[in-house]
Amino acid sequence: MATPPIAPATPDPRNATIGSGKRAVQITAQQVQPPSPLYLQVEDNLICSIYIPTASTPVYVYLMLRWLRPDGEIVSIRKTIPTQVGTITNYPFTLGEGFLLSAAFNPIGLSFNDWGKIYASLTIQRDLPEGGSFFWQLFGDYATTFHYPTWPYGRNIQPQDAAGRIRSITGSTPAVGAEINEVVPSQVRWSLLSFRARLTTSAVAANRKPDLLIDDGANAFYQAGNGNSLTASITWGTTWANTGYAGAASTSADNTAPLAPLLLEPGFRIRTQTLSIDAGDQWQAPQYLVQEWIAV
Amino acid sequence: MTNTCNSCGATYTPIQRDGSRYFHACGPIPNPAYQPDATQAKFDPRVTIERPNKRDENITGTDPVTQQPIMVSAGLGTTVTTQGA
Repeated sequence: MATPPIAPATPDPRNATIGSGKRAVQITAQQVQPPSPLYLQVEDNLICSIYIPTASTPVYVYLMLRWLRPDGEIVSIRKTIPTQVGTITNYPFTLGEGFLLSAAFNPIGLSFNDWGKIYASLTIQRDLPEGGSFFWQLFGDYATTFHYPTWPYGRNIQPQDAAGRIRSITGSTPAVGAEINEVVPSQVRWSLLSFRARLTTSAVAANRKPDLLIDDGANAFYQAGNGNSLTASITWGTTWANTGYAGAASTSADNTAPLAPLLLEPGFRIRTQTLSIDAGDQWQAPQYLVQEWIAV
Repeated sequence: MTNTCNSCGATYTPIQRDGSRYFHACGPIPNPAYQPDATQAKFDPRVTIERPNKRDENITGTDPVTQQPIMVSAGLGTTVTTQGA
């Protein structure tokens, strides 16, 4: 039996060589100058500042650095930084004399997939008698397990310049006869998108009229309801949202009320105020949706 | 886990579903010197005052010695009412 002819080999398009002309640029291979504009001396401190205002436990983060020493050696450095819950962590350190080639901030071992939980910055401060003299901010950005603030080529933004993190929050169930009270936490800014709460009324006859009231910690600047009266012995929910419409939902014992788009600073309060509330009425825990920025 | 505030009696979950911490704060209470006017249909004229021994778990800073966060006001503390994840 005759052997079939072998087809000529075709070039693999994935590994084809791309032709090019002779280079005009020559690369120096000896006495190479540092490829970094960032020359640091022993008096220069690097300060990594970390903000995780709503973390439930302290966490550790990495700061990864590539450092060119005066003798020409490039060393990789990993700084492990413990953070504080609910406050700012400032971690100063010095590397001596040399050139910083790169820096990257890594949140590790955390569920930071939700963008917007942690913000970090890296600055340079000279060892001067007067404090607060910063020479350069290298990066300032939110971090996740998939996005690392870096220098160079990273972003340098204020926390409020970003898109904001979407959070659905379960609030406190007040005691019987008491009103709902939610407070914007320290070091965050909220945009309140919707707020839903249910009131179970006692057997005492009265027309309850629940309002949502927002204040700056002392003085109210917003109050809205929908005018509906809640009678005795019922459970009725109200959703405040940016609908511009007040009325009853079609498929449940809920109704809607308008909510203006408001930006709320730390310490601002979101409360209910119920006309003719009875000592036996019970508000359930509210559920609300906010857009959150770290505010520092 | 569910906590009950010993100051105001509210119950809350200190850790949210997304892993974030919830900071409880007691709300104001009606001012006993200024009771609501039941004849007004739309606006509740109630004036409120801050609760005595108010609890506010928000963070105001860091203790310079222990480096631990400091909450605004511990109030009468909390009681763990439900254990769990």
